[in-house]
Amino acid sequence: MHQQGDITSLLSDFTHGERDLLDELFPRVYDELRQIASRRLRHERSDHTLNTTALVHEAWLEMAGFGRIEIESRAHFFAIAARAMRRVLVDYAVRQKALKRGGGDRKVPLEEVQILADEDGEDLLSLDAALERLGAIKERHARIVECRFFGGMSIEETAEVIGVSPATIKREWSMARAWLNRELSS
Amino acid sequence: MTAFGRWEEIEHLISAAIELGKDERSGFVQHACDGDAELYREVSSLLGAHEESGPLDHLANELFNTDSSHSRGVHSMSGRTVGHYGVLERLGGGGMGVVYEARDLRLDRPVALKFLTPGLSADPDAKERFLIEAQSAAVLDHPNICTIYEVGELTTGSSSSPCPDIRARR
Repeated sequence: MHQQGDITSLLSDFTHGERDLLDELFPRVYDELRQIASRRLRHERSDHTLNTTALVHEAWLEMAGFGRIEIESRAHFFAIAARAMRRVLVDYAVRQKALKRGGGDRKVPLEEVQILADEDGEDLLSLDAALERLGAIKERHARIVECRFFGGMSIEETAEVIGVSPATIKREWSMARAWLNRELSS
Repeated sequence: MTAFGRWEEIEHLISAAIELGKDERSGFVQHACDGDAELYREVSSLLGAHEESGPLDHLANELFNTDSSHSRGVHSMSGRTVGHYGVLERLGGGGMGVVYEARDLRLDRPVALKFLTPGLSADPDAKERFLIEAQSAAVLDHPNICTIYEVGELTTGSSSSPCPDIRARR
């Protein structure tokens, strides 16, 4: 289950000015994404793939489009949503792993049981750990990976969200991708 | 392990090397590292990781794969080989087409591949417009306009849906 402490640590690398917004929004975006993901996967049970871009956009429409949240910047929302998407998937993986070991001590809704293939769940947890290590070295690189990988954003969208040029994003993404691929291969 | 203190230096070298053809890269890296064995080892290793599809890409395909069999129809061409082009990363897209970073495997040079949006590939008008766009661009020779190398149709998977594509220099 999601712990408040996790949220706080997840948000620690955002700048101070962004923190208030994140503290307030992250749990709500997280819940929204989880609901959408579960709904999607219930209808497409045979197919354990998610279109994260579509999920994040749907969350944006649900929340901002229907006035359920007030948010000044679309870019801010997408930065939060990319991070929340990462958390949603990692939490699924953790829960599945626990269930597989027979350690599930609470009832889990059926639609959440097999969201990810077992192997993908393991790989996702390895990625999450590697991403933590990357973030400790280069915070922005980890955020770029979140936007690109978990948020399904293009180079241009990521540039807008992070607030640097697309050329910088492209260079740093290349490095981050190569670094993570190597970390995960070893 | 990455020499973290030299991250920027390594990153810029990799970024510069990527812009070159594959056969020029190792020479460039060797020259740029100028006998610094640690730097050379690190840049070469990361460059190798860049050039190949790795666990991160595999996971992205597994988790977020939206290929042609998918109901939403936003299929990804990343990781596929189309003719003599290896499709790499999606660079962007609009209502009409999707552009991918790719590599001409015969001439070993970077190219951009533009595909007609899958949803439009069955639409003859859209196909016509796409071809006209390619033809118009092909007659132009300007540094700010892509040179069109090739245009054609391909058959994707078993669905046999023809999909015109333009192959252009970046």
